[in-house]
Amino acid sequence: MMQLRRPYNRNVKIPPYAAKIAGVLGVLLVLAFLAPGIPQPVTEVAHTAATPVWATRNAMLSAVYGAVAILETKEDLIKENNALYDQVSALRREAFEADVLREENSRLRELLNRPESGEAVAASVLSRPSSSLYDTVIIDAGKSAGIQKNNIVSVEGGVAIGTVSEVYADTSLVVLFSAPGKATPVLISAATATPAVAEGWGGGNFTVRLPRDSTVEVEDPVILPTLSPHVFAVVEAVESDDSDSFQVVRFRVPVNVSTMRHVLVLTGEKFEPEIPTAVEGGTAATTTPSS
Amino acid sequence: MTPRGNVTLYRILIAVALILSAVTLPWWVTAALAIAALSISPAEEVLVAGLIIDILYGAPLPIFGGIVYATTIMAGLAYVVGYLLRMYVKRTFRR
Repeated sequence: MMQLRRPYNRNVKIPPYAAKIAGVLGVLLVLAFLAPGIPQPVTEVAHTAATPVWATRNAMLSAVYGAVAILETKEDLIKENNALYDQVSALRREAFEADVLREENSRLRELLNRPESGEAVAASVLSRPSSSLYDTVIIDAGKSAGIQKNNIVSVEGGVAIGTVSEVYADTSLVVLFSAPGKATPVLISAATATPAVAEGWGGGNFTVRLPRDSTVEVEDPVILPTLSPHVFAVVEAVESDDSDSFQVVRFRVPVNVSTMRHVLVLTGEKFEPEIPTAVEGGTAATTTPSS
Repeated sequence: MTPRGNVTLYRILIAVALILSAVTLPWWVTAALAIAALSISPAEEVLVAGLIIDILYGAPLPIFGGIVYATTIMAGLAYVVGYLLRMYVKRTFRR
C-alpha cells in the first residue's frame, strides 16, 4: 500500500531554547496587543515602596552637590557672585514689569468676569525624566493634596512643563509636554501668536513645522494657549531650506528639567488638548482648558 | 565556592543591580547594565527591570503606540536577540 503521509518522527524534539524564546515572544505579543494598562493599585504599591528609595537617592545627591560646591575656588566664587548680582538686578527690573502686567491682566479678567483661580500645590520631584524613556516625573503629592488628572504642572517663573497623567494617594505621575511624540497646541511669538502644534522630543525639547512665510525668530517665547497663558518654551533655532516650503522651528523649555527639585501643580487649571496623535504641519488644534 | 554557587551569586548581584538601577538611575545606565548582563548569561532579570520601569514611570505615549509596556517589550526583544547571538557565538567558536 502506498504511503501518502510521512510518518510522524517521534525522535524530533523541540530544542529547549526554542520553547523559551517562543514563550518570551508570546508574552511580549500579549503585552503589546492584549494586555490592558497597568492596574492602578499595582503602581500605587510600587510608588509607595520606591518613595523612600527616591528620597534617599535625592538626599545623597544633594550631599554630593554640596560637597562639590565646597571644592570651588575663592576666585570662581567671586566671579559667580558678581555675575549673580548683575542677573539679580536684571531680574528685578523684569519682575517689576511683570507685576505691572499681572495687575493689568487681573483687572482685565475682572472686567471680562473670568477671574484667575490661582490655586496651586507645591510638590517635590521624586523621580526625574531621565529615569525612563517616557519623559515622566513622579511628584510627592497626590489625591490627598487635591491634585486631579490633567492639572497643569509648572516650575519657577510660571513655565508650564507638563500635565498630571495619573494620580495616586500620595504621589502623581506627570507627563512632560516634551515626552517623545507628544503633540501640544502652542502659540509661537507673543507678537504674532502663530498657532502651531509642538512635537515633543524628550528632555524639554520640541520641534514644529511652520510655513516658511511665518515670522519666527530665535528667543521668541512659545506660549501654552490656556485661559491664563503660560510660558511653554523659548525658540532656540529656526531652520529653513530653499527647496522646502516649510521651516523647522526648534524650541526648548527655559529650565533644566533634569535637575528641577520642586514643581507647582495648578489645581485650579486643567489642560486637555484634543490632539491624540503625532504632529503634521503647523495648524493648532482646539484646546479645552477649564479652570 | 562551587561553580553553581558562583552562578547563583552572580545572578543575585545582577538582579539587585538591575532593580536598583531601574528605580534610581537614569534609563541608559539600566540599559547598559542589561546589555552587559545579557552578553554574559540569559538574564531574565532584564525583563523584571523593564517591567519595574513601566510600572513606576509608564505612560501611554503616541511614539510607543500608546502601549505602557514599551520598556518590557524592548527588554524582551533584547533578551531574545542576546540569547540567539550568544548561541551563535558559542556554536561558531566550538568548531
